[in-house]
Amino acid sequence: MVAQEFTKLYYRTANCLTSDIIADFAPVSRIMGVDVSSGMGVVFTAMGTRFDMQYVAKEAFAATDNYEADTRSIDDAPVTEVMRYIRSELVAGDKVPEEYKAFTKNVLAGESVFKQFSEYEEGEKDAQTIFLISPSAMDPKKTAKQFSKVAGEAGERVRCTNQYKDCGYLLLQLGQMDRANALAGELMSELGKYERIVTDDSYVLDALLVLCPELGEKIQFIDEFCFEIRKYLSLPEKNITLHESGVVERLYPGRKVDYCELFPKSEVKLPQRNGFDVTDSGIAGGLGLAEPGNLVVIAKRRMMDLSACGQDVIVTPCACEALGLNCAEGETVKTLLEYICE
Amino acid sequence: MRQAYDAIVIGGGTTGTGVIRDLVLRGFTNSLLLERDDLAAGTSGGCHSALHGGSRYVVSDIQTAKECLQENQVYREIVPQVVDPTDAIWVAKTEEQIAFSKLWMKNADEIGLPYEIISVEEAVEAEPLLSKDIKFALRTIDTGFDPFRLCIAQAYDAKMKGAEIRTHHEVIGVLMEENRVVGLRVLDKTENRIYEVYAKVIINAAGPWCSQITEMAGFAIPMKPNKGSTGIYSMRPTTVLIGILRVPDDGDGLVSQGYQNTALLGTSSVDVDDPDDAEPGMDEIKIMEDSVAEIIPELREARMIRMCTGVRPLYTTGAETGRDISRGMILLDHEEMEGVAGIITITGGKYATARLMAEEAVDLACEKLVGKVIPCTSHKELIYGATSKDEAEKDAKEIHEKYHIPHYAAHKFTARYGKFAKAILERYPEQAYIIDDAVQMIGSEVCYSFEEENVENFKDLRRRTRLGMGQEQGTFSIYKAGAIIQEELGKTVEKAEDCVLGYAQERWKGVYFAAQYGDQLPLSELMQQMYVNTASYDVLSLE
Amino acid sequence: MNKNNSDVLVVGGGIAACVAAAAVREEGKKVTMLFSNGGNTEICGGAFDILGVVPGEEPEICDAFETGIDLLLEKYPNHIYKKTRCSLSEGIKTAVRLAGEGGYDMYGFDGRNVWVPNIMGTFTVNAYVPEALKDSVLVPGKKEKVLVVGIKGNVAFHASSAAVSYQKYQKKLGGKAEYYSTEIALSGWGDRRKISDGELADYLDTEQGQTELLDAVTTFCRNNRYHFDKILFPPALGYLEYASVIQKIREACGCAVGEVETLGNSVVGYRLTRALYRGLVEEGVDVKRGTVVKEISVEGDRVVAQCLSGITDQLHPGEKKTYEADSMILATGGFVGGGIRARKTEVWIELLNQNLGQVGVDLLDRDVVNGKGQDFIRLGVEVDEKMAVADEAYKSRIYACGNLLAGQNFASERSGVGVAVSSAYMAAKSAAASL
Repeated sequence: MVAQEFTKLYYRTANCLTSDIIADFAPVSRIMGVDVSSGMGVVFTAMGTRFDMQYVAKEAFAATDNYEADTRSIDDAPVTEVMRYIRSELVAGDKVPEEYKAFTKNVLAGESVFKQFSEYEEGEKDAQTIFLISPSAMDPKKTAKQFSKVAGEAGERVRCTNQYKDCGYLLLQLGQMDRANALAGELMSELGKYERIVTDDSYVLDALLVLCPELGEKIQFIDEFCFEIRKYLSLPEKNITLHESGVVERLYPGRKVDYCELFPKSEVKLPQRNGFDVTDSGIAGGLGLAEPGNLVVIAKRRMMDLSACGQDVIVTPCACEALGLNCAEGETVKTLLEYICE
Repeated sequence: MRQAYDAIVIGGGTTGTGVIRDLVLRGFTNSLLLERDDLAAGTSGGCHSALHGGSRYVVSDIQTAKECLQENQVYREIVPQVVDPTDAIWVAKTEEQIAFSKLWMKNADEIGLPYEIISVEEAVEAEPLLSKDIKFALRTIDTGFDPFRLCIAQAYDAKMKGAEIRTHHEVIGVLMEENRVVGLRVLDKTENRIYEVYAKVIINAAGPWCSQITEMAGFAIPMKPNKGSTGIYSMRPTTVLIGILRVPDDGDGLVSQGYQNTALLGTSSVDVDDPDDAEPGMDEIKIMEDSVAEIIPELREARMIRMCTGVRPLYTTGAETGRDISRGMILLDHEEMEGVAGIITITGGKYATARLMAEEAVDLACEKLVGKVIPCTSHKELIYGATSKDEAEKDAKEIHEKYHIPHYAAHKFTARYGKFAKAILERYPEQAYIIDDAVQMIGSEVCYSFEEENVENFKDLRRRTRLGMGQEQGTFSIYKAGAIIQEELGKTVEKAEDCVLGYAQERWKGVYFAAQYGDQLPLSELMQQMYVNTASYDVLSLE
Repeated sequence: MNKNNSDVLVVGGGIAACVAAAAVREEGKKVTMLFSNGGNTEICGGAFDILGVVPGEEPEICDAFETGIDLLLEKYPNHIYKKTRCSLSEGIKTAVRLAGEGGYDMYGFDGRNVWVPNIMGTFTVNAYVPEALKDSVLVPGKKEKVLVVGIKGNVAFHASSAAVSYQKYQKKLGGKAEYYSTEIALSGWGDRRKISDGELADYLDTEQGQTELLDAVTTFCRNNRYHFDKILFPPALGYLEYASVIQKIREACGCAVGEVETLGNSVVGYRLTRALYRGLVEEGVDVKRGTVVKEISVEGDRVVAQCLSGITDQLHPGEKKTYEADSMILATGGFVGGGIRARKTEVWIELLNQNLGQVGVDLLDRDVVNGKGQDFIRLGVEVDEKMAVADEAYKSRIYACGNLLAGQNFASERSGVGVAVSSAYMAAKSAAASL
């Protein structure tokens, strides 16, 4: 059961002395060529009166950094949680700005925000492993085949589906806890029977761990899974630039995978902003699609750093992040799954 | 400088500025206001920021409640950009309080104070920080506002219509001809120059310092200065004012400051001897916080950013003390009382009824000046910059679109300046960006205030613009204002240092108390890092 | 329960913690560092101060930090430097080495203190400065032409008022420079009215940004009869590439180039902390960023830290982890860092069971810049000669260092880094030796 208690959030922002510094680190404030003011200081000021949220609506929806700003919060002010709260207030008060209304409507209706989404399912109903295909996948069938192949190398029987879409990730980002909890019940009963639950979408991973913590031990991110079965896999040996998952780095560091160990014959390079400080593509599990202009600029900026590493290929474990980065239309970024199946 | 006036008003608080505004509206444009410090630097600036609508006094002082009710409506009409109709929820928790509420409602009905009983669920839903174990709640009218801004608006309303406002001018002597006060000896504190001015009538609106003025004319007024300590929080946890239904006591409620992001905890009542020597008491603050924490439990989690005091100008003719003295307004015709002509005193009262006080005072002044009462229109005329909420929102949107200032900042900006907001930016477009994130203050305001609103330093500036009144008390923003006055207004480095350091001192004054309370120790450390460690003012100051 | 394999746990992420961790590692012991962020170091000005001023009715500016410490100890005989001074030079060496490994070079001046111009228009005293401030240092007596450059839209720094201010404030420090100012406009970010330090720094991390800045500055210098000896920039020449930007401008313009010092911008503290963390990883310290210690205890001959891993909020409770070791060094900071907390008249040391009572008027002065300083800053943890927390309950297995310690006023003394690194080094050696 997830909750968003206002009291728990509100007073945590009381000690914030350094909103300027936090503000400066968020990708939304690094948007070049788009004339907006850096939004976060104003959000924290607005938090001082929690009922002025309509004035900072744009800022809240544009805040697509996933806890990146939180990494610099030295006085324990919770940034992402504040943004979530504001969005929930806007929805509750019917004050969602015009340009985000369609997006919000989609999410509340349980529809995927990814235009390319089409439901797909394959595999054995009584398989031990279920693979949740990222709702952002351009070709879910291809993704499913890739996973089945990889899992098959380790002798696993799998079922692949994207029917649960983002598993409530965007509902959580809009602070719709009741709806999210309802979905949680459904997920628990349907996924609980599997021995292993794998996904190639870090936002799905986050949503699952938040909504179904009891399944925590069974849930794996795609790189955790590949790492576990690596001895069965014949891996390509190109030199890689790795775009890490911010979700894992910041929220679930215990799940970090050593890519050098995963690819012992490859040179794995990280751009200068990596690890805890990794900057995301701006897709934010789909939230970035609400402001596509911003998404392209943020993605382009990240791609600049990734391309500069000059390796053979850019790889990221998260399919959603790959989509986000590829919005920049630069070098093509491959998902880990895609790369392994080459 | 002119020397002879029809009327001179002493005191730049809400009474004094209200008086000069009213004088001007009735045609006495040849008027002067003298204030020893800045507008609202005295009691008006140290108040609880509640422009009472009557709910507080409905049982204890029904006459005052009636006046508050009437005046609250007037203020909402004539100065909407300052007075945000925040309203209030009053709650009862104990048996005693519930019994009190019955009495409250009876009296409210009597004077026509509107209220609505709401269910506890409704109250808690509207205000999620309210304790769930309250037993009774009602909604009624009330207002939390920026007390500086209202004084400023009144003063500049008068100035625009021809009156003169002199701040940092202190009355140091009274000029008499036999039994008549004919003028004042004044010290211009910006130049240390002493001069004289003359008037047909002097209106003494010096608040708790009233008697200090009249003593210079040979007689005292029995004032009993009474201080109230206020704690200011870094955020505004509730939309509306919250009050406890009980006989007025320390810590009756939390005042939500309209258009701002602060809430004030008040207020206490302690008699003091010297109105200039009043410091907030830790004990008072703790009692008040404990009291309000009964109904807003997590309030103790909120950070108190500063404490301040306001000294009430209570008038006593006998041995009553503190709360029992009537808060009613007192108009003293000294010609009748002490046989000293040419001077009248208006004192007592509340911020909420100050316009009414001014009306009474100016009625009397009219008689002294022209032998009859000219009709008062101060309740009908809009004050300096007044705009409707819709107009203000429209202007805010335009400002947001044109200057890319965040929408929220634009909204607060138009709330501060009303009609003048857009013009200010047009006049100083180079500084049209946020310089203080915590209050969303715009650089252009610095320029405007210095050039048009009698600002001498940043202590004055913050009363107009709210610079440094937010989470970090200006630590990262005060120096930016200093840079602006150098660049845009050609002020010297010395003047900039005087402003920056002077204001840092002033901010420290309030933080100093909150630091003893504990909440502000991190900010205190940060301020030391900024002003000592980094800026090196302790060793490099030019002074 | 996780079986970590540490000899020593270091709690904190600022400069004290980093030096403590490195110093333990030097002894070949296994160190795990647990923290969420860099605390006060995250917002610092990026330079090292050791002893800049001796506080008092008439505060004394110190030309050299060692003599400064001598004077300080005469006035404040119980100052923590009494215990830790002998570890100062090693502590500094460690800090400089770590930062250097991470790409952040520091420069000292033979024991002298130097003054650096800052964003407020005055000067700040330091003992060691990074590359970005190396050229900015005021040289007493030198008649040089200094150009202060502002970048249009970067409103946190007003070059023209800063230049006029430096002209005045330099006098007390023997400065004889002539300050000029100008504003350059960059257009790579479109028509922004306002650009924050972070945005500017990020832009200047890109090739496009650097090229544009370089072009603008060299054009200015070429079209100018005046030759400048020094050019000063806002403290935002990049999060990552600042050193190369500065070097390029030096070469192109043939003069000294540096930034001005700041406090509390997002750029400078980032550079220092990330460099330190890189250095620590190189030296084999187990850097557990994002793991916050919630509770500590001494059990038998082990210290135990109950932690939460990952950023936490109402949706993310974090992963519970327990770390064990033979000893622990607390470098959790002062009031800003969060090692010492205060609320509603109570002041206490976070993690230790220590209540410091209330801050009364004897620990606060009404003058914000009074020469003696604010004594509340001297509150903190008491330690013995070895830097172990002076409380039997912790059986000398828990050490403390940095701002967390009692006795120093880092703000008025300008002793923050000196105390941090000397006490950290000492605590580390004690902890390592006791194993």
